[in-house]
Amino acid sequence: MLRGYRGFLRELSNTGGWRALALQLRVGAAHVARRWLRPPDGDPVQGFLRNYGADGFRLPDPERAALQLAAEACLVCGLCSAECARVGGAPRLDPRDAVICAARLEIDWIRLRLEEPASTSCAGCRACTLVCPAAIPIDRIQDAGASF
Amino acid sequence: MTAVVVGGGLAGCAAALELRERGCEVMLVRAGPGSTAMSWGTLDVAAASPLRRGGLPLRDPTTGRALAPARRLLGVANANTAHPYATLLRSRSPESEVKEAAVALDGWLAPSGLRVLGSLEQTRWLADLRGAVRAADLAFTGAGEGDLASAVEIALVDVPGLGGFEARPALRVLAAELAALGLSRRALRVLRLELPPGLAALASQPARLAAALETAPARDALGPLLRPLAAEGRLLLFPPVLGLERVDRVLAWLSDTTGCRCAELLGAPPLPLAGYRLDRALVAALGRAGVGVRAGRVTSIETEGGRAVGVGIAEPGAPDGAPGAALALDALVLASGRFVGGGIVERDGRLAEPLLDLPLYDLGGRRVDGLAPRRLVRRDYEGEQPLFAAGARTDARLRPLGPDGAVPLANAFAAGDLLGSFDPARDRTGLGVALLSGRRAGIEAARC
Amino acid sequence: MSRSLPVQVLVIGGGINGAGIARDLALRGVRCALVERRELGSGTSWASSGMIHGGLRYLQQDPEVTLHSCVDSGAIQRIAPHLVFRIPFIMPVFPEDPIGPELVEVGLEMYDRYQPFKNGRPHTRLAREQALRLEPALSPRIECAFTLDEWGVDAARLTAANALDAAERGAQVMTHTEAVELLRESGSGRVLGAAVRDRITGESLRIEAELTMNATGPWSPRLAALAGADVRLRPAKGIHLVFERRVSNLAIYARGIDGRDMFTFPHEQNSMAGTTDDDFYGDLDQIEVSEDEVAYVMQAMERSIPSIRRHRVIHTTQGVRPTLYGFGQNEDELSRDFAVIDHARDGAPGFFTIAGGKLAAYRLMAESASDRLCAVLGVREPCRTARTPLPGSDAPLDVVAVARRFRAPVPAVVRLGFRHGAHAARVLALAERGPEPPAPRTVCGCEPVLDAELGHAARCEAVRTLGDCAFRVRLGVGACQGASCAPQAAGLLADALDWPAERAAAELAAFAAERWRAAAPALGGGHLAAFEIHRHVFLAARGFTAPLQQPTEAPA
Repeated sequence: MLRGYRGFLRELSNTGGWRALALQLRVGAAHVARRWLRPPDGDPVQGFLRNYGADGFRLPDPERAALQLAAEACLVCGLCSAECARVGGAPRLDPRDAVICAARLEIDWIRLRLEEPASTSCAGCRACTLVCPAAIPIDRIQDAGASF
Repeated sequence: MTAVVVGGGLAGCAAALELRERGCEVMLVRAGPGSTAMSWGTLDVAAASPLRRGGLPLRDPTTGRALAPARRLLGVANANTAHPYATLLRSRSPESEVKEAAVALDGWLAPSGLRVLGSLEQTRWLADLRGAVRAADLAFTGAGEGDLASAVEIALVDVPGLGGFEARPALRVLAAELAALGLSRRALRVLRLELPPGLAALASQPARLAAALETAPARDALGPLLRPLAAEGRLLLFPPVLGLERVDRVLAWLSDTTGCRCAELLGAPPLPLAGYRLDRALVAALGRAGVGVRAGRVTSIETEGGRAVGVGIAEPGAPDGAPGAALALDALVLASGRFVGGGIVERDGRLAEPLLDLPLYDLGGRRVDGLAPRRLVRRDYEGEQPLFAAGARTDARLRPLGPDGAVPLANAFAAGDLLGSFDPARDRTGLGVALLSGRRAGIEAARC
Repeated sequence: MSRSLPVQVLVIGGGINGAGIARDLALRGVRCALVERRELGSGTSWASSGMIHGGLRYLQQDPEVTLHSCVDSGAIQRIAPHLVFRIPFIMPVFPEDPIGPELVEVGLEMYDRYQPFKNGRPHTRLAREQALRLEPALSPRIECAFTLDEWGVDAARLTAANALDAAERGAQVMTHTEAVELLRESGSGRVLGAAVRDRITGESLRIEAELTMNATGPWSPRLAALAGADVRLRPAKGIHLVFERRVSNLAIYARGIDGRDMFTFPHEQNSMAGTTDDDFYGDLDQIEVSEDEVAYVMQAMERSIPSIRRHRVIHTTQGVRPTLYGFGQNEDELSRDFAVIDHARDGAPGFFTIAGGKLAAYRLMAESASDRLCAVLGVREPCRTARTPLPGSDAPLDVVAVARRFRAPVPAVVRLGFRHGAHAARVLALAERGPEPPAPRTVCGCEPVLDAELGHAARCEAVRTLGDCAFRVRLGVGACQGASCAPQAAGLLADALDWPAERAAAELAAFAAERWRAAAPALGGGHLAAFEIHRHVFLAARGFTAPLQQPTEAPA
C-alpha cells in the first residue's frame, strides 16, 4: 500500500489544473481515511453480479467457455443443417444457428428474460457433430443452449 | 497389404477405392467431409473461367469453337509447369486419363443414384442460383442435366418462400450472361410454383424441404401443381433442393410429371446440397467396396528406415493431447486437403504441413512454408494469392518431396488439395485434380 | 442543366456528426440537406470503438470533459435505449504497473461521482482470486482488479438512425452523393451551397443553401480547400481487431508496450481489440492495416489475456480520427475537444466546419454546431435532441411475441430489436404481402439478418448498394465474411432495387474485395479455411458479364 502512495504523490505532481488537483486531493484523503477506518466487507464478486445481473451477466462457466471457443471454428458451410434434416431431426434451433448463437446471444437472452431456452428438442443423435468439418461439438452446444 | 488413407474427400476416396480394387486392405481415416462436401454439382477438370488472367480462353482462336476440356487440361499444364496436371499427364494422353477417371467415378457413385455427366468433347453451360453461368466439364446428376446450350426454352422455377433464390433478378442476369457467351437465342421465362401447405412450411429451411421432396406424400401433393409448368422442349431449372440423397429419383419424377428436361441450379453455401450428396455417395461407395472408415484425425505418422509404418489417430471430440489409437500400414496416401481439410495449417504463426513437415510451394514453385500467411496474400482479391495455391510438391509417382528434393518416404503418396502450385478457386481444376491424383496415388500405392 | 434544391443548411458528410447536426436542425424546423459520399457512418464513425464512454482518462486533466461526456452518455441512452448495451470493464493491475492500485481506486472513486449521469454502477475492487473467478481468462500474474462500466453502441446504426429521423422530419438525405464543387458568390466569396453528383446514377444536383456545414471528418481539409479555407487537423489512425464472437462479456483493459491503454471489449456479437492512435499521412480512401499494428495490439492483449491468440480474428476495422491540430505532443495527449469553425475569417462566409471530438460527444457537438448555425439564420428554436427519442425507442420490444406472430426465429428478432427497437414489428410486417405470407428467412446466419430486414433497408432506409448492408444491418461481417449470404443478398437487393444484370455482379465483386481488404491483414488460424471457401464462392459466382477488376492482357 505504501508503494501505491508513493506513486500517488508522484502522479499528483504530474497532473494539470488546480481544480483537478483539488478534486484528487479531496478524494484521495477521503479514500485513505475510508480504507483505514472502515475496510470494505462483503464479496465484491457478488456485488458485481448484483450490479450487472439484470444486464445478463453471470459467472463464466469453464465448460461453456470451452464450447464457445470450439464454436469459433465454424465455417458456416451448412452441412450440419443438411445432416440434421436427413436424419429427420427438428430441434428448435437449427444446428448451424445454434453454433453461431453460442456466446453471442447469451447475454441478450438473459437480459431480455426470454423464457424459452435457446435450444431444446434436439434428440442428441450427434449426426451434426459427426459431419462437421471443423469438428465442433454441436450436440453439446445445443445442450448448453437449453440452460442459460 | 494394408494401406491407410488420410482424408475422406474425393481424392482420399478415389485413392481408397483404387487400392481396394487392387486387392489391398484399406483403412480410411477422416475427420470430416472436407471441401468436397462444399462443392456445388460440377466436376471441374479444367473449366473455362471468366477470370481470363487465371483461367483459359473459352474458344480456340483459330476455329472459334469452344475448347474441349481435355484440350484445356494440356493448356493448364503448359501454362503452369508446377501444376499437378503436369505431373499427372506426363507421357499420358489427357483425354484417356480423364475419361478413365470419369468412368471409374461414375461406377462408384452410380448405386447411390449419382452419375457423372458430360462428354469431354463439349463444355456444359450451367446456371447458378444467381443466374450466372458457369462452364462445366463434367457435372453430377442434379445440376448436370441443366445444360443451357442445348435448350430451346429455359424456365426458372420460382418457389415463393424459398430463400436464397430471387427468380426475377436471376433471369435478368441469365439473359445477360447468355448474351455475353453468344448463346442468346433462347426463350427465357420465370414460372411460379406454389408449394402445397405442408411443404410451404418447410420452405424457409431448404435442407428439410429437400428431404421432404424424397417422400411419397410430398410428391403426391406437389404433382398436380407441377403440370402447368410443362411445355414442349422446355428446360426447367429448379433451386437446388431436389432431395438430400436420391436426386436422381426426384428428377426422374419431375421429368415424368412435367414431360420436360429438369435440372437443378448450381448452389452455393450455406446449403451446398450437391456436395453433401457427393460426399454421402462416396462414403457409401467405400462401404460397398469394403474400405474400413475410421472417424478421427490423424495426428502423427510413424516412420522407420525411410518408410511410413503407422499413424496415430485422435478420436473425434477427444481433448487435445489425449492418447489416441494407432494403425500400422504398408502404404500411406495423404489426401488431407488444404485449409478446410486441415492438411495445411498455420502453426506458431507460420504455414506448415503438420504431419510430415513437408515443404510447401506456391504457384511459381517458390517455397512458402515457414512464412506467415499474411506475407502470402496480395491486395487484388481476384488475382493470384500464393497462400491459396500452397501445397506439397511430388515426384512422378506422387510421392511428396522433402526440402532437398529427395523422397523422404518410399511408401507415402499425396493427392488432392494438399498438392501445391495450383489455385483451384481461380483455375477451376479442384475436383479434377482430386480425382486424377487420388486415383493415381491409389494405383501407385498399391504397387508398394 | 441540373436540377436545384433550395435549403437553409447543407450538411456535407454523413458521419455521426453530420447526421446529428441534420437531425438537430430538422427538429428545429430548419430545412436542410445531408449529402454523404459513401454510406452513412462508413468513414470514421463506423471504425470507432463504438463506446459512448464517460472519458475516465480525461479526469486527471479535464474534469469538465468527463462531466459533459457522462451527461451526454446518459442522453444517448435515453434517446436510443435499443441501440446501446452495457459493458462492464475489468481493469487488472499488474505488479509492475507504474500506477498503484490505490491511485487507480482514487481515480475510480472520483469517476463514481459521475456514474449516475450515465446510469452506471459504482466500481468494485477485486482481489486476485475474485478477479480470476469473474474472468478466468485473465493473466494469473495480476495483483488485483477493478470493475467499472461503460456503454457501447452500434455507431453505424446510430448514425443511420439520426439521419433517418432527420429525413422523416423533412431533411433531404442523399447517400452515395459527392460534393463536387462549392457554389460561391463572385464578389464576397460567400458559399451558397454545393454542386453534388450521385455516384451511382451520375445525376448532378445544385443544392442552394444559406449555410454550408462541413462535417466530413478527416476529409475536412480537402473539402474546405474547395472554399479556399484552411482546416488544420492532425489525423490519427486507429484500428481494431475483430474476433469471431464474444471472447468475454466483460471488457478487459490491456496496456501496450508503449504504455497506452487499450481493451478487448464486447461489441455486439463480437469482441474487438484496440485501438491504436498513430499520426496518419496516407490516403484516406485506402486505409491499410499494417502487420505492426496487428502485432502491437495482440501483444498488448496477450499481457492481460494470455490465451487471446487462440481466438479467431475475422477482420479489422480502420479509421482516421479528425483530431484538432496540436504540435509537439504524443498522439494520446491531444485534446479530444472539438471546434466549430466559421470560415468567414478565411474569406468564405456561410461555410462552417466541425472537427475534432469523439463519438460519445456527438450530440453535444451537434447541438453546439446547430446553435451556431441557427444564430446566423435567426432561428430561435431550442435544441430538442436530448429529449426526443430516436425512431424505435418509444416502446420496449416484446421479442417472443413478435417472433411468434411473424414466425421468425427468435435470435433473429433479438438482433432486429437491437437495430430497430419497437419498429422491428414494422420491418417484419413490410414483407407480408399476399394471403399466405412466407415466414422470414435468415440470409446472414452470422448476425442473423432476415430477408425482411434487407428488403426494408432497400425499400425504406435508402440502402443502395450491397456494401451499405455491411454497415447498416451488419451483413457479411461475421465468420463467413459474406460467403454464405452475399450472393443471396445481392439477389434480394437486385429484386428490390431493380438492378440490371451487370450491377449485381459488380456489387458482389466489390463486396468480396472489401471484406478481403479488411480481413487479409489479420488472416491466420481457422480463418484460412473460411477464406478458402470465400474465394471459391465469389470467384465461381462471378459470371461472364462482370468486368474484371483490373485491366488484363487480351486472351490468347
